[in-house]
Amino acid sequence: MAASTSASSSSPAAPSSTAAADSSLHLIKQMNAGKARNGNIKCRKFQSTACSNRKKKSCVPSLPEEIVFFILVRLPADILHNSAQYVCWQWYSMIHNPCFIYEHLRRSTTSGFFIQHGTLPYTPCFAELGKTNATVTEVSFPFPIEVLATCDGLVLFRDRQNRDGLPLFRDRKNMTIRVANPLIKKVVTVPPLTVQGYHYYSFSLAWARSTREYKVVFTYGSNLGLEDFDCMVVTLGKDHAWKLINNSTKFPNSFRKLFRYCPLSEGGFLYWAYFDFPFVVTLDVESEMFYEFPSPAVLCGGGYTSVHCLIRGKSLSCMVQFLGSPGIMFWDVWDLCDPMSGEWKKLYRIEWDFNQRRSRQVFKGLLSQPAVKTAFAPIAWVNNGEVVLFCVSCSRGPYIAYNVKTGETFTFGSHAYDVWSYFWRDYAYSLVWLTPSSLITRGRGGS
Amino acid sequence: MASAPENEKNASAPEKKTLTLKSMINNEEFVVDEHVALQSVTIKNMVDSDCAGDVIPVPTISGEILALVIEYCKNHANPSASEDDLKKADAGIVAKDIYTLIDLVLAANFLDIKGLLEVTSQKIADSIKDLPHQDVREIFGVENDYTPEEEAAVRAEHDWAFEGFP
Repeated sequence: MAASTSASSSSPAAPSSTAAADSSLHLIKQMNAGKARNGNIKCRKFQSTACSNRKKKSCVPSLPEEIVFFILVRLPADILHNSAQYVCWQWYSMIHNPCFIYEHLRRSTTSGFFIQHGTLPYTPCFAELGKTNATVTEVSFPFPIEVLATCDGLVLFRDRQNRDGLPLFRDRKNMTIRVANPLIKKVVTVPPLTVQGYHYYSFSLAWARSTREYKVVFTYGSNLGLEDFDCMVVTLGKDHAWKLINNSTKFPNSFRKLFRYCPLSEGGFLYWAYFDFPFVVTLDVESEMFYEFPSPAVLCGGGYTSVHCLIRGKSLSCMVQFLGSPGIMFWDVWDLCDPMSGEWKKLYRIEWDFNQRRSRQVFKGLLSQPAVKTAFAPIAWVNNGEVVLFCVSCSRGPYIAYNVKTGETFTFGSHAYDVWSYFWRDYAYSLVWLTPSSLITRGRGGS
Repeated sequence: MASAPENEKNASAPEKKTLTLKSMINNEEFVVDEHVALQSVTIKNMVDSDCAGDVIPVPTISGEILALVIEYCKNHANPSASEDDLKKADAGIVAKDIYTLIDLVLAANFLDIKGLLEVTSQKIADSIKDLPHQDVREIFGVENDYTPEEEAAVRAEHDWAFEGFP
């Protein structure tokens, strides 16, 4: 039996120790039975066809395929794309397999946030959070863009040149909307809008769970009085034109104000939740049904100073801010348990005591202005919903990262004064694309 | 066949039952409590179907690795261990060099111990994350089987590709 440490166990040598033969065989049988039960392994068939043309030695590495799968699926998308896929053909085909990409997405957590400044130079950036620091890198795009939404590593944007040209309402029909995956460098153009004369609007991107298709949703006010709004949708890679979602008319007028704001997208749902609007509206992107329920702003019975809704991990989360005795500020963090029934659960209380020396050190120059304490605005949850990022909305300054599990706090980077013209969203690179991966095929027959 | 011995076991086992696991690589033997060993689905299936003798031979796993596996199983069989304790203990078990980790992941896969498979895979992923792909090849004993044309084609995927709507 092979004693070498990296010996293959995919086909354990026939048991040579005679006494143990029966049990060993049984163990092997059990092992195989175990494999067959494991639902995670979907790529075997795909793999074996990819390898069938190769000489045996070069395509059978020392690790069984399912273990390679287990390891690769835990690597960040940028490592897979920039390095791991060059290891060998087997790894390349595994990384490009739709099952792998889906499983990788399912496991991945937003490791940082996507930033686009609203002023020159507009460069889109990705801030990846470590334990005590953050690395900010530029995100590659083929031309200047204005980000509108993100979802599963995809970015919805319009070409920047359109906006900088003529920002008049009537010219908006000329804008080109696109969706890109900046890691794998693919971009697709969204069919042009046929609607004209809308007043306010927002674009968002979401995922239809069972079909695994991505849809762009366009919400717009059809006249200046805010009385009417409509919702249009287009399925990427499939639809030629936008279509109207018809059931949006069932909402009373009070909701319509909410639709002026850009929704948040997560797990196949869009969420319209803004400041202290008493209601949250969700859209199940797959069934195209709307749901409505009270926001925690109603549940906590007033007394708060501000309310912010953000995506935390895989669900909507609401942060309600209160000011305590002088120098003390706290946030209640509520998570939405079910996007259809609207059940909320209070999970954490974040408390900052600015009188403490330790927090004075962390917040250094930030606390000089009296207004600052109410101007702390949470902008994104990252790292599996463990870290919340804040900015101070009334002054130029760094971002503040706070870990709700460890209480660890640090600051990094800086944002300009006018924070409302920023785009911020929790983000992670992914390998996702709209159409099945266009795999490079091995053309030669069994050489 | 499985149900009759089941009753017998329950009746006659107020004292702890033990199993002996034997590494077939260096013949090292480990005596472990049955409930500890049963975290391995492979071993559990053997015991359930009454195929386990007094000594269970474990092929392809060295004594050194088997000791780590048993340590993991002992930690996770302890009902009073908190989640944090387990996390710390797991981190200790996988704080090994990459080659030991590869043996460990193979063992976890062979013995079908889901938790150990997960922590070890994660640790391997963390260890190779920042290595150039040439080093990764060496570690995994993988040959570069790309033809130059194929490699060029894969690299060409690093240019932006535009698609129109259907």
